[in-house]
Amino acid sequence: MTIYSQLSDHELVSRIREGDEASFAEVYNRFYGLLYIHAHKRLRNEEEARDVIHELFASLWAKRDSFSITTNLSGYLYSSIRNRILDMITHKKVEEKYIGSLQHYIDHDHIYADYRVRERDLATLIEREISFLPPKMREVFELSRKSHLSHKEIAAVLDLSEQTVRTQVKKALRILRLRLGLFVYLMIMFKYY
Amino acid sequence: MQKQNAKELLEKYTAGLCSDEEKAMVENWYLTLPDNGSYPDADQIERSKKEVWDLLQVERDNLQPTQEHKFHYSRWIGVAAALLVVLGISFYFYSFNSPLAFHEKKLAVHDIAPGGNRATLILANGKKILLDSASNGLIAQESGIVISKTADGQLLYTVSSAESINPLAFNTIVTPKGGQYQVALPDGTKVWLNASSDLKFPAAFGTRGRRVELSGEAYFEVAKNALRPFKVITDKQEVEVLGTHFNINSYADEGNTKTTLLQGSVKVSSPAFQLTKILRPGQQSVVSSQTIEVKTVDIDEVMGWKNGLFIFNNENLESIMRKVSRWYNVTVEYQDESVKSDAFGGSVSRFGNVSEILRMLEITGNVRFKITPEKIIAMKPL
Repeated sequence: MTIYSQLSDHELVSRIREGDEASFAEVYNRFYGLLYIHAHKRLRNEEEARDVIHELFASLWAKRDSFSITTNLSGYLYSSIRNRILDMITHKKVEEKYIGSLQHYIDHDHIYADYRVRERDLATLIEREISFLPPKMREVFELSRKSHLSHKEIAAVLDLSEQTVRTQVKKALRILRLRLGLFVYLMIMFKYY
Repeated sequence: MQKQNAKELLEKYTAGLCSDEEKAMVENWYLTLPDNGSYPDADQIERSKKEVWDLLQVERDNLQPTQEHKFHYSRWIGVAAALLVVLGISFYFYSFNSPLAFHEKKLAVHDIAPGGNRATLILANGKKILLDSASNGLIAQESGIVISKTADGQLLYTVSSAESINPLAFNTIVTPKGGQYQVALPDGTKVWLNASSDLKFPAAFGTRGRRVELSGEAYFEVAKNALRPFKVITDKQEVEVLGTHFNINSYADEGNTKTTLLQGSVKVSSPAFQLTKILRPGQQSVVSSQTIEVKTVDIDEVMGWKNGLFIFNNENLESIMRKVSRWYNVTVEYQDESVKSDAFGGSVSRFGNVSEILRMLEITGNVRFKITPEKIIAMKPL
């Protein structure tokens, strides 16, 4: 039996392209919570937040054939939710304060980060809220982020030395720890091979 | 770039007509949007998740893929088609229930609460004071020193009258398994004591030097005083400092004594083999039965305990479980010796129940645990 919670984002994308409903459900389970919190905190409206996510997933299923093999699932979901939130903001009746904020931003020069940085920052922003998820939802998301590859396998795939992989993993763990230091009840565990 | 009109820009963006520069501007601005709306609570999240899913179900039955394509049968859909309603129900059930729900019930029957601020203070006259239940304020007074509990888990020593100081009056703070405590000594030095440790120190330091004895683990922030070097004596080593921040791990069941320096400079010496090493910040000395070794270490990992975390990096299960044993005050037994040497990495809060740590270790699929009223049993996975 396939345990969907153990499939990577990438594997789920290819299965959804083929119309696998269980994979669609797994993606829904993994990402609903974080996307909802993100939308809710910006739109400050339960119905609107729900609508935005509803439309996002409906569209995802409807357009599943157009997913490319290389679609970065979380990146795709996070950009989509952002675009839908911006769309909602543009057409809302209380748009004035957002317009004002954007005008102020325009009028003061900024250095604009390139799209890769924006993508990464957006992911960080959204995934930062993980400690506010109900425990089961949080677990599902965390599990999906756990890599099952041993250092040896990763090294083989990336054509690096095992030692380099080990060091990188250590570094990544450190960065995660520092970032998540505030969230006392957050847990990540993985096994060294 | 010419100053744009915000409203027009937003409309351009949502219509997909922005240049790269304009896109960058809007998307960067989006990252700065205030997100001080309230957090939806857990029930709200669950409820809306079910509502939206129900809506999606209804629509999905009516949705066709946007292009003509060969119909792919995944094994799952094939089986579902054969069993219809029954499988449909179990499919939703599977999606919404974590496979770990079953495990949760098993592990949590007996659970163990984490440690906390617990310690006993033994005065020079032998009197024992249990610090957990003592109320804040004055605890004791002896030979010119006032000892007070400033808050939960914190003890403060202040000099009340310099003349009556007796440098031979020793106090000892003892933390049990599952305890931790912080002491501020009369010279301003702060000490954090981990579980299962004790610190013996003079109630007031004399004029020549500051000398304390430690067993177990403690983190020190020593107040600078060049005229009075601070010495920490443990079973296998002596550490001398002038003013500095460092951690000493000298549990008897660890097999060696580790001193990690964060700031300043310390001298580590082993009387047993007449060796001395001087540490620089970021370095750790390991005094074993053979020698003193010095290496660079990850400070966050070493200091995890003081910051409320267990942090493991390629650490074998036996070593991890020794720490669990001290903090949760529980014996650990191994049904299968093979799991002892498996290495794990990760970080977890010290303030959850033990079942949380054990569950996370189990998720790796390489160990299984059973919690009984007397002990924790570690086993091979199924």
